[in-house]
Amino acid sequence: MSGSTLLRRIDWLTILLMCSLMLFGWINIYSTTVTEDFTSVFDYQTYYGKQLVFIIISLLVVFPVLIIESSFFERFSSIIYLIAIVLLAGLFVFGKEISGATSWYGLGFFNLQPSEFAKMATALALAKYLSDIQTDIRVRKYQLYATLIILLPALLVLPQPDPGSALVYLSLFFVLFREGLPLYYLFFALILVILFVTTLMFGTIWVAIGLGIFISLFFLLKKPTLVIPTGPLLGFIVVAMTISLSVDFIYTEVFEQRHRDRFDLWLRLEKDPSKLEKIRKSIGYNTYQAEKAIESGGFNGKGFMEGTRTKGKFVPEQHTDYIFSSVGEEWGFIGTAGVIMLFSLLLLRLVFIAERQRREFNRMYGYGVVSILLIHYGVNIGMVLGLLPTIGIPLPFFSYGGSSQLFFSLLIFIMLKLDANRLRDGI
Amino acid sequence: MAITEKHINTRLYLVAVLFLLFSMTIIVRLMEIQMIPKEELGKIPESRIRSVVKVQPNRGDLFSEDGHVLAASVNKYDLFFDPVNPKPASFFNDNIGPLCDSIAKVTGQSADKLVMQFRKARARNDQHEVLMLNVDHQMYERFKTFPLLNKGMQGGFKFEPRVERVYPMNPLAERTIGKEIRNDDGTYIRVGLDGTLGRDYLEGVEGRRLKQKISNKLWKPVGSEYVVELQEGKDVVTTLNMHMQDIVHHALKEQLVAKNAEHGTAILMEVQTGEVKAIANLGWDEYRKDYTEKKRNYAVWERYDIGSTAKLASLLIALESQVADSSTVFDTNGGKYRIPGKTVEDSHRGGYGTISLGRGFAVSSNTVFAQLIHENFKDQPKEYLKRLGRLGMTSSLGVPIEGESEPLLRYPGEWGWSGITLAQMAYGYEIQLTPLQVLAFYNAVANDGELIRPRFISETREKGRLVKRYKKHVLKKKICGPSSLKVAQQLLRDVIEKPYGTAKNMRTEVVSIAGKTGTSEINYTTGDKNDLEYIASFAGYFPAEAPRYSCIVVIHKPNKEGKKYYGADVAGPVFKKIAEKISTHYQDELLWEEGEISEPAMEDDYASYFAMAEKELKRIPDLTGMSGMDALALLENLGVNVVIKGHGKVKEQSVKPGTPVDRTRKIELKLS
Repeated sequence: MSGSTLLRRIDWLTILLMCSLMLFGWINIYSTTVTEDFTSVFDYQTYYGKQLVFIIISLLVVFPVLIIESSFFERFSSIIYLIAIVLLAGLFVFGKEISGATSWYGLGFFNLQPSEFAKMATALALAKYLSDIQTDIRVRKYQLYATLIILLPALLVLPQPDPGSALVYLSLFFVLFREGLPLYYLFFALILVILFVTTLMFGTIWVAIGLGIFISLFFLLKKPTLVIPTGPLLGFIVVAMTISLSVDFIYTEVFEQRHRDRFDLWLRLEKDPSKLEKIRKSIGYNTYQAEKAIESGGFNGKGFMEGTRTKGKFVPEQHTDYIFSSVGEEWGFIGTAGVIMLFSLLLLRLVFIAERQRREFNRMYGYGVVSILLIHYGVNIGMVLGLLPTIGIPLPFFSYGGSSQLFFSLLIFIMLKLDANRLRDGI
Repeated sequence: MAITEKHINTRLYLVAVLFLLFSMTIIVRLMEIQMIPKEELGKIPESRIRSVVKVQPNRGDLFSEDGHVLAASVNKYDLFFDPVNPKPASFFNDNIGPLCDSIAKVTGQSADKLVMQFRKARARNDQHEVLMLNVDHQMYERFKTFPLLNKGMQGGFKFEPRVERVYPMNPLAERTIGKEIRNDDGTYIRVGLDGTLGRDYLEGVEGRRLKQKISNKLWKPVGSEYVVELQEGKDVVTTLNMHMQDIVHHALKEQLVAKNAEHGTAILMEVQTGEVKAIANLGWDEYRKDYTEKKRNYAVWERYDIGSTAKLASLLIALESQVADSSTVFDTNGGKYRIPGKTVEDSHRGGYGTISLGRGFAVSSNTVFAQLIHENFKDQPKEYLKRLGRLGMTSSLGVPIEGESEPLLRYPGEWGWSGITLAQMAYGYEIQLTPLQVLAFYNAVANDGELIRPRFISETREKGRLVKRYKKHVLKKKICGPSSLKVAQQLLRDVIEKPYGTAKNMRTEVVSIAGKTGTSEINYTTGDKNDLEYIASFAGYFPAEAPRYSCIVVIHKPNKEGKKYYGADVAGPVFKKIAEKISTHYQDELLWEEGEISEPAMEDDYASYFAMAEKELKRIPDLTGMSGMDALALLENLGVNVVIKGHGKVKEQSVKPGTPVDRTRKIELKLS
């Protein structure tokens, strides 16, 4: 394929959305981190300078990706995955600790975070495995292997500790569901979460009563023809009650205080308002400050470089995980809603692109990309807005960080390359 | 291998719906956060990250002319101990004994009891044990060296500093020095000079500067600019002279005690400049069983019927309008002068026969002056009041102390004016002025007709540097012509010097006095002789031939025993004592007129101090050889903490000359 046709086939809309996010993100990083001794936007000593350099590098990555034969990614996905796993495991020996987590390799000018690379690698490997002609996801054995592919890197990053990245790998289960993993897994996981949260909030007795009412209603409203076998139903009830009863044990014995605090805060378990306020201002300090910053932005925002909370460095880690609060303060509801729109459009566009692929590998990889971006975007914004408990996870294209910037771009460019080639991928 | 499209499509729809729900949740949450206005929001953060910080100026000090501090702000401390804070227990237990020994040495308490007290407090978790209250900086420094306390907060040392205004000269001129009292509602009661001068001079201007939060608990000033420039309060050097004040205070108090009077005031003023050198306001304080300055500023506030001291005005008006001269003869009519509605009587039963106006002044004949004014002005009473105004007696002086009363006079055609008013005014009834206003009038006569506003401020200073020197404020260049003045001045001397003068008892070898007695009755309307009380006064100046000081003494309700309630008997002796003492002490000055004490050594001292104070010092100067107080003033103006040991001149300084000024550091001066 000649260069010009390739350029024509590239999905420019995705690139436009991506670049918009990068640019707006950089503007916010600049506003958050610029100091009085400003020299140049390319000043590598500063956050904004570094970020700008990485944005440019990330965009330049498009060329090697476009030049590489598209089948390369499918063929070498296993090897890429292996490299990623080795890199993750290597962290236990060679890792560099930054702010409490050993998630980086120090390369002098740049600290590489292999978990970002591994996300892409896992998406590739999973797509490759699932698209294999032999793999049938409805069969236990394949489900187990697929799960292993996902869980291996997750287990490697968990002790760094990096629970955020671990969560991202788990999001790849979404690809499995797209490809036909029975929904009752999802149902089961959902029930687990609901049981856990409701038990924490209301106690076992109310959960039992609620469950009773739920099952009764189910029997009242179900089609008369539908027959529910008694055995599994009883089993379900027993399992549910066991989970509910063990929540208290898990909560007090397995969880550490910092975890408990997060749940106390998120679910407002602490009933004493003064204590809750205390937690809000200590454990929940980041979220609290982020919320206040967004709140203070109002509808129109305070304007670029005018965010007093941003300038005052009220929100810790604002240039990384809490960058969205800067958007909220300086650009107001218009800005935040704009960012939501951009992300939604990007995600929908990627789903659309994934669905139009003829090759299963491409589609599955596409869903991998969507899963990864979605979980980042959802968890990050949910956390900043106080909808979800605090989990450190960057906002794609927005948060400061070279590795994530680079690999998010790579993730998307690979998809675009595959997409550009789709017409030649006869079945 | 994939499964069928139909299944997948339902899943896709499900995903789409979930995604939509999620987006909606976020949008709704965003709207909830950003679009529902909540009060207090947006405002608190502004103030928390960028706030205007008020920088309080130091209140200026008030000095007397002769260098005494009249009012000054000093740091005081309340010291506390938190017996719970020292950790671990062994740290507390090892040190509590020595600490209590140290405290006991200072306070005289029992060390054992203190140990017990603190142990108990620690046991019941009591974190606020009083060590000592209201101590000065030096004591605070001393406590800081004690065991445990030298560890600061960790050792349990707590203190609350505050600025306190002190008045070292009290009770001398206490009322006039005054104070500023801040009410709970933020309003002020301003008493005397420290109160009234507060706004214009002492207070300074509160500085406002922007500060920005740079991190938790750390603020930095934005730029070096003040939004509102801080101006430290200026020091005010008053005209009061504490030595003279001492004389006046005690002369007055002695007489008040002797005459068992209710209250009295005495003012000493420099004739040519109008500088008030001393001002005493003593009233019987039932609570303290003593005459104190705590009652009112009678000199400035209290109007009284000025009695015979008004005759000077009557005399000048008669002379100026040329209706009589000092030799014009009047018949005292057996001591009674009748006009419709009133019989004016002389205090001397039977009158003085036929006497000249000049003699009538010296003997203070009421009938002479009632006749003089009533006969000549009954057809043109307005003319009389106009002339009174020309003498400066109808308006207040505008002195810088709050609460000066306006003169209270009747005007023809207005309420209170009657056929007898004019005659009464002639000898000092229905004409009420404050002692200071009467003094200003007498001072004008002494000062060849120039009426000057009595002055309390001599100069303002900033960091020891002169800001402004205040000149005399002339209210009227000439209150009357020179010939009338000459006559009046001579007659004022006659009051003392002539054998028939009412104040012949005031004659003294030390100094020549000129002046006029005054006695007025109060409670005369009840008709009961027993209710009658008196106000005795004497206003005048000395030395009579070349007036240097004017003075007035007014005493209310003296003892009526032996009929010794007249101005000459009650107020006269006070005046005389003041004149004598001042003249003796300030002989040189009185002789040399404008001469100033000049001692080369002192001049040098002052010059060197002044030269240093002039410079905006950035480095610690060499202070050796400088007088302790000057060095202290110099350093404190630099904002440095100073600890002084010993008395006299500076022998050693703990920080080398030339070291940049560091306000956090302490400088110790050893004096010898």
